[in-house]
Amino acid sequence: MADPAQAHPAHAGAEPVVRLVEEIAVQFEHRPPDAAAAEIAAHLRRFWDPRMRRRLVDAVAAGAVGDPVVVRVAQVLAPGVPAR
Amino acid sequence: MTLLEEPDFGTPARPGQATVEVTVDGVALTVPPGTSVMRAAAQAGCAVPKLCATDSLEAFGSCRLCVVEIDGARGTPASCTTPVAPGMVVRTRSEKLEKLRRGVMELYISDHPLDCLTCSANGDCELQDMAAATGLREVRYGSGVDAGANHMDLPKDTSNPYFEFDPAKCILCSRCVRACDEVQGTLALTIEGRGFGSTVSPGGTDFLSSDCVSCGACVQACPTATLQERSVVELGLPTRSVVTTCAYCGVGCSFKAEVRGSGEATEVVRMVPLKDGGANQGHSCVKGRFAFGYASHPDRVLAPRIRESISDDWREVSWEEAIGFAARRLRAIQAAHGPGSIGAITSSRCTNEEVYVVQKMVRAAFGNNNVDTCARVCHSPTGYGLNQTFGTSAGTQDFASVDDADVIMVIGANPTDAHPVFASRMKRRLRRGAALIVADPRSIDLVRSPHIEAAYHLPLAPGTNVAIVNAMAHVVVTEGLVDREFVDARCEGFDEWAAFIAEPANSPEAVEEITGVPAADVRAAARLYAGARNAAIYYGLGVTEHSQGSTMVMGMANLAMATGNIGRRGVGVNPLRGQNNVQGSCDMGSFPHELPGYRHVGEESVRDIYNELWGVEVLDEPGLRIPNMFDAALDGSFRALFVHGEDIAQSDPNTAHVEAALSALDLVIVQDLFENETARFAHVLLPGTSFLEKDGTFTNAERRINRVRPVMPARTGKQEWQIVCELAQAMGYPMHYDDAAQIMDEIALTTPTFSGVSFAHLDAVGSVQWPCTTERPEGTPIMHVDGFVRGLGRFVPTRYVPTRERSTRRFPLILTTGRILSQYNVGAQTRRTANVAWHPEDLLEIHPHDAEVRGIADGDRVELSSRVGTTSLRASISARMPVGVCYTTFHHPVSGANVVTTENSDWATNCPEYKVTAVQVTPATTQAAVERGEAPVGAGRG
Repeated sequence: MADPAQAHPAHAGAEPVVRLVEEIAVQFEHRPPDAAAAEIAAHLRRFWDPRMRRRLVDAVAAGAVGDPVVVRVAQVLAPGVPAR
Repeated sequence: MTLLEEPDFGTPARPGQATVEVTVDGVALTVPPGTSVMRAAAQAGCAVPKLCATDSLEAFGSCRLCVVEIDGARGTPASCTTPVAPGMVVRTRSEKLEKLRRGVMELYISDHPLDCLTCSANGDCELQDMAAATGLREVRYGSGVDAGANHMDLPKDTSNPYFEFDPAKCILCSRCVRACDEVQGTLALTIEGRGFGSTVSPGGTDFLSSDCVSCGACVQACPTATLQERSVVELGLPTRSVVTTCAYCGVGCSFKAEVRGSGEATEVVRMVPLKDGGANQGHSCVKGRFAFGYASHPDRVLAPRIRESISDDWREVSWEEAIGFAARRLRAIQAAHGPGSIGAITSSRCTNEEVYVVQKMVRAAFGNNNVDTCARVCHSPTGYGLNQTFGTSAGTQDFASVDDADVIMVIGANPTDAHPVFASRMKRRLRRGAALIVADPRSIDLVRSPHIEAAYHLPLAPGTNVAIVNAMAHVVVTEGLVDREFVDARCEGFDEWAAFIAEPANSPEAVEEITGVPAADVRAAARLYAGARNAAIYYGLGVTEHSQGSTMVMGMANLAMATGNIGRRGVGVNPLRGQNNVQGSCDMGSFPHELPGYRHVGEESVRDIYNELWGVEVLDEPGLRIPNMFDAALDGSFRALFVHGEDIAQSDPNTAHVEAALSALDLVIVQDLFENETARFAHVLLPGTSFLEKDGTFTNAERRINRVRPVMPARTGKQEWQIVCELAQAMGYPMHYDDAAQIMDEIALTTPTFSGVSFAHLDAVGSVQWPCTTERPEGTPIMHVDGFVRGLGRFVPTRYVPTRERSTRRFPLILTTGRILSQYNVGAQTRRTANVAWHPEDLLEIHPHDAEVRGIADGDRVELSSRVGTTSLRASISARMPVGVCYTTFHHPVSGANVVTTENSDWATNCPEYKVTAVQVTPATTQAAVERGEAPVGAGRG
């Protein structure tokens, strides 16, 4: 398997799905955190392949995400994502 | 089909009811007010001889050949410039008229070379026709070189690669000059000199050096061989026509492909825009009319190729072997890595039918939803934004609607380069008085061109679209310019949105520092837009290819709804689609979350339709988008990709990342006309068919479904949809159609908005705009007339969030990318035509100040670097660039503009942020390879 960090310096140390969800989360910063998390989770269910949602949940579980809204998104998504 | 000659009524049709009764040569008829006598006569079947008149141009009245007699009128007026009047009685034939016309013809012929037998227009010359029609038998003044002073020694202008100008054959009818003025709107031609010394001139220089954009309208308008296609000179006149649709931009022009020969010996002589073409009404651009030579270019791949590894040489094999090889490896990869480890990308250059079968192959044979389309990297935010607000993922108007617009706002689009035929129509409306607002960092040609000047040019900083549209909406809401009646009756969510938009942070004054646009101009532009009887928005990739592309689309929809500019002619929110079938490829279920007709895969009732028809269980979860496929390739969960007619290695952002992803895949299957950049990473190369060989439909930016008819047999021996079906079958999924019409029948059967569409219907009516249903077979030119597709139009608050791509000390400039007129996207087609005469390489446009402080002179080779890569190209110093912003195109692989573009994307759709990249530009002195203009250098390589 190729190492994304080597192949793409801009991604070094960051899971692509974390970057993507952070791009989404910043659009919802003006919303109350729970509402934002619910809307983002609904967006991800509608548009993201399940493996991406899985990787996000895993990244949050691994402590790779600090944004509390994204953490909450992962909690909302976790029950529905497929196992690896 | 024999050569299709469309009738010419001499002057344009006039709108309105036919209320004026006239009699022409004893034939009574009723025509609309303002109709010329010439046109009325032609409609009565009494065509009047003419030379300076043609029905694509306003009457000019110079040739005096069309004289008629009118009861009660003095003399013999020109029928082209004389409008009908109630009760008018006209005679088009009499001894007196015939004598007058012969006299006129004598004068013309006395200064015309009598070389008809060897003239390229022999048999297609109106002068020749009129000599016959008037019964000319002798020329009393002599003729040809014997007639005394004449123009027959004037030299030819052969500078243009596609047509010649032979002034010796010119009759000074001014049709070429008027076509350039009225049809194209470039005003590149003029009549120079006076009296006998008058000549047609492209501004005192040759055609290639002039302002001429080579649209060919002058060539088409010329009644003689004065302006003649080189192909006609070289090949002779065509013998038959096939009506089909252009395969370049999203305007979707209809053409007559005029050809010689048949079967495999078919040779295209010229492409002539169809007067009845719904999108183009007889006009074209340099690409559509002339740049078709790529279809017969020796670089075409005509036989399948395979190789075990991308380091191996290609091996040419049979179709059966190539398809079997691909199918076995796809199934093996799925067996090893799971059903979701493979996927496909559909092409916006291919027909609806071809796209439909690719997404069907993915969903039914691959058993997943990993299908995406190149619209991902252009107009996916349009789909998202208009769906959220209006309920459907498409523009609201037909092109003709612009004729009724009083204010036209162009945002992030450069129509004169990227959508030239629609731009000509827009410019015609602007010359007639509509006001123009342009929001674009660059001073694009529309801002100031002959007889057109934008009322307001808002030169916003790249990445600040949402701030500008919010500021305009702020003015509308806070200055009481809202159309309350429309909003109350037709929309929802207004109060919440209005409260948001009225926040001081959204005022023009507050965002002036962000956007760089004076607040007073924003306020004035907003008042102009809101105060218009009809105001229309046209936008392009300068809206969508941003981190807030979807937000901006919703912002424009909000603005249009707040001012009531939806649901009638002259208004609307109109995406100018990039490729010929972007709309269609999206319509056909190319997105990983949507089945055909924009229905989410999670909708059980929709899946049931396909489950039953296809005999499979369509997955209810979305698949991977293109950028996600690249990421998944690098994480190892995605292993094989079928790329249908798209060159992702050149067109997608951050080339190093794309190439790393492609290199990581176990199998890449490319189907294309040429061995493109992506094919460097492919294991299977399947040859594709050009638009001249395809049988199917394209859907243009106005939702118009047009037929694409085969002009010649497929040079590869197979239609592309057949190849896809065979691949699906080789994977064990039965998929067969007898012809492309059957595929459209399946689309109509399963997609409500297409339920009235069939090849037979399109052949009967020409084209239709979806929704086209059995109840509404004529289609839907204007959407949301009585209500929005989603019921009520939805206002969505659109908070401005700056892109994280910022200029820095290391990368102090912002690069934005786009297209130019003569080239098309990655250039695979246009680079293989004579269009390279206008644009042989990509250039970096840079403001004089930015160039000077870097020691860069015009034409210097420079190094262009971003945080992800470096490339090299020549600089073009241009005052139309704002300070701090530079611009380039992405038509040539050697310059590789996407080496420097980044992974940033629209938050909702992952459409790449091509329009904002922080860069540095320096004289190219650091690397020998760069100095020589060799391959670009991407970060992450080597």
